[in-house]
Amino acid sequence: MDNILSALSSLADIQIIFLILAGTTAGIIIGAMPGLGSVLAITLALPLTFVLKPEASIILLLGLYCGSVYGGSLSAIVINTPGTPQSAATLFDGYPMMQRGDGGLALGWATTGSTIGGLIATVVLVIAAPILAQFGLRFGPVEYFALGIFALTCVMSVSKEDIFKGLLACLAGLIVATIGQDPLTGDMRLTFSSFELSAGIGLVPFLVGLFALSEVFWRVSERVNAPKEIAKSSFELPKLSEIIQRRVVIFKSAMIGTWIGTLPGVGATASSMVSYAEAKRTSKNKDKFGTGEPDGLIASETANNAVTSGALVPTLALGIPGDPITAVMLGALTIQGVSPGPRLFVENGELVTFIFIGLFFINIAMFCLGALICPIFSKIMRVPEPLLLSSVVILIAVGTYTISYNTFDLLVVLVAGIVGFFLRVAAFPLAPIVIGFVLGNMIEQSLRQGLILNQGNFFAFWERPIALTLLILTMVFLCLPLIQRFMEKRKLNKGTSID
Amino acid sequence: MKAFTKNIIKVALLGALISVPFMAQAGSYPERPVTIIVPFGAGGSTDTMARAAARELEDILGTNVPVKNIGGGAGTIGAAQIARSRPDGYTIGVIPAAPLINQPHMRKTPYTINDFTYICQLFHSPQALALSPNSKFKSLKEIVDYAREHPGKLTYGSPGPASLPHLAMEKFLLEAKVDITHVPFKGDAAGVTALMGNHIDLYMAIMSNVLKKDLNAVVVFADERVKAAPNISTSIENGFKTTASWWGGIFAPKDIPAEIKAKLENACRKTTESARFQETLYKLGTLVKFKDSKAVRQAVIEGSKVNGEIIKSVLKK
Amino acid sequence: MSIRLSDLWGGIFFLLLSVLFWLQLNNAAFEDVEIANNPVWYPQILLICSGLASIILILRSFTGKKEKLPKPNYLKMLIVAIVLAVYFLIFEQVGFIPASIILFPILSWILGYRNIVVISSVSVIFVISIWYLFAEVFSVRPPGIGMDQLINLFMGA
Repeated sequence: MDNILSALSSLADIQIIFLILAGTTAGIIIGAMPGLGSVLAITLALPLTFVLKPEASIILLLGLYCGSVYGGSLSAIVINTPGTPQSAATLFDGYPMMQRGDGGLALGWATTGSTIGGLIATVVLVIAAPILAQFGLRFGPVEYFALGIFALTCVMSVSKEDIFKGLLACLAGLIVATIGQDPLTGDMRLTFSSFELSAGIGLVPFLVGLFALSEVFWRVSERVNAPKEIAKSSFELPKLSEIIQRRVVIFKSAMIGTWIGTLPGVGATASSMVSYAEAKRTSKNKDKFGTGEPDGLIASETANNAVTSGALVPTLALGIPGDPITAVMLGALTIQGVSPGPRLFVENGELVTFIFIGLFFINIAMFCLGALICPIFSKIMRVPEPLLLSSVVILIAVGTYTISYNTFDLLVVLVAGIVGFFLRVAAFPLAPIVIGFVLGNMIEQSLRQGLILNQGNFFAFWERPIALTLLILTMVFLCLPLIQRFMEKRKLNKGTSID
Repeated sequence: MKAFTKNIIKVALLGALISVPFMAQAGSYPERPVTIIVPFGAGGSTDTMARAAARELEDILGTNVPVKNIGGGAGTIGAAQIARSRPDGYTIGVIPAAPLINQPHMRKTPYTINDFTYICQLFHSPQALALSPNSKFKSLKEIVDYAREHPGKLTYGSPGPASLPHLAMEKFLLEAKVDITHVPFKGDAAGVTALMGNHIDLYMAIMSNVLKKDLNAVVVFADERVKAAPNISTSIENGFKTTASWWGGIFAPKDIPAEIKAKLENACRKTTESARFQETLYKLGTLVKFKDSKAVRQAVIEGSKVNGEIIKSVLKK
Repeated sequence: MSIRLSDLWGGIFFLLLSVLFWLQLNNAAFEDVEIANNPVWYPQILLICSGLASIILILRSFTGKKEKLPKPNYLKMLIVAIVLAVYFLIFEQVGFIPASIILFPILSWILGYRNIVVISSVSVIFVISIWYLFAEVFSVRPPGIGMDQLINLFMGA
């Protein structure tokens, strides 16, 4: 109780309030720009962490982190380009909603989902951080492998029209992910003797090219300029009754996000895909997934924002940062003489409480700021298309180039854009490529690590309860539609025979 | 007419401005910001070192010292960028040893160790071997004895293939003549979690990470014990010769003017003497260690030779 | 293009890609290494799968649906692709501000916007504000000559 009071009193500081608002706003804007992401957002704040008090720098970093993860959804919905990789799964249903004219509502759902996800995750963090951290430790390579395979199943739902083409696209993504240095032996493969390729294909240029640039090509090449759907409203919050109606999806996605956030190195992108796969498996509206179903959007956005709190679990409770953002936070803490780890909760309970309450306020601030920024952002659609597309191209170029100051990344953007365009022409879904690409490294590395640990015996994977559960869920998920279709056919046949 | 001459001056100035970056002016160095390239992402160990050094260099050189992170390819992409930068002293790098002394033996890199001007060494942190929480071992000797009786049964993790901790452990295994299976991870976060979850038996990490993450280390591969962790015995005390550390410094492109090089070397020495820098590094579990241009160049050449042999014998069977 | 034709082209594209990658992998010989230490084992499995899937797709194209897909304007796309390729390639050498101020009007014109006053003013304002956003706010300097240098040049003279 004392901790909560003193945390609240340090939050009442004008500097802290300013940092919450500034950090979150900057985060949303950076996240919404294709190519720039959470890492740039925190790099921005790095010099400040040397100067500010630990509380202040952590609040600033958290604001930037939460804001940027949420901000990525805005451009995913409005211009069919995930602003950050974390929002790749938001695209699947967000952009179809926009095309239908429900863009305002899509932004509303993204805002609501992100906020609720963040809030639930924070509550979970308060109650169960140490327990979650211990559970996370039970995840070894074998479990990571099973998790990756489970997440792959969301390919099924995003390649609705043609599952076969979706599968091929997913394989392509998995293959592209293997280009470069073998994560286990360090040997080079598929590099075509190019030094640049030996570092592998970067996620951001690949993603930006595949979605943003191919979208530019696609709009350019349209024969008839289709009358553009004008969104009915620029920002519309979902009704409370609807939120309650979809409570199961929201709650489950938040839990999945929190939990995956506690696993170091998996990340928000993969977590939104796992959440999407799970929502697709259980949602009442599962047939509409991929065609602009709010449940899909909620699953992705709620989960990726829940990750932000989840990622703090191993950082604070074990001293192991799960991603670059929490790594910076950890650095800021250590420089100030606070050492995260099991003892932190005992020795620095006050600081921990402060972080929890700060996260709470950041999520609320994110909601209000989102409601302010979204209407402005969706006005982008009123800009004449040629000007909008030219601006997008320039943003893509400068955003991607400045990541590593390398023209090679721009080449990746161009090639991915051209390939993406022709795949669109040939009716291949693009989303599975990204799913494969994001999950590929984790699947390969954990599979081979698991084989090393089990002396090359793959069947030992089945003896691990967590992995077994995940693999069985995957199989059920894959077979269920087939069984259902079979049953329906039988019913139909019976019906006709009675006639 | 006046307007015309003014325009001519503008054009001439524009030309001059574009050509300025091509000329290195040693006299009043530094006249513009000096950019530090870090070949790893923001928030990593190297990045923290570079930012702490940049803060000191700003005061010493009296100019802005922005840090630019160019990650990827185990540090080779950023190192290549530094090697091909203009040798004018306005682009320097804070680089750990691995991209220079290990990676060129693993892949085709567009640079060799001869493509850099070695300004100084800034920091080092010895490698330590950490135990999983369930471990029954209490000393290095017990581990070696067990491994000798059960070859390949024990597992150890490293942050990646051909990383400094990986090669250090292989070097030790060659000396001790035992076989412990290597499980490479992607970075310390994933590896340390696997260790704490008892999925692997041992983990080779740099001392600063052992301290930060509160790991149970059994031995540190150094000549003398680390001040911040006086209970951990050294490999020398245990009767082995292997020592290994993660270290790095300020390196610049080849052939920078001698005057600028001297200025930078001097600034580097002052950085390592700064109390604030020493304190920041101490809190991060890293040690300040200054070596001048000649000594650090020698260390790179030697490291490259030794690690090249280990890579040849262990990885490229 | 019909769906049948798209199956055929897609199948051929992925089959060729798989073969090309396969040849690239076989350059490195890792034959008698155990799976976990074999860098080409996992990509090879993926390539076999994608090769098989492409062949099935090609076979399906003989019996597939004849439904028509929308036909894009390839010429326009090709022109834009070439313009962008040039822009990306000169981006580093020429610099962000000059390259972008040239690109914006050209691209907008190709895309069918004809109001020259709007194009030129938007291109200058947009490019300059993006430069300031990156260089001053994000402290990531775009390549090439910057606004600060330009201002010094013209104000100083």
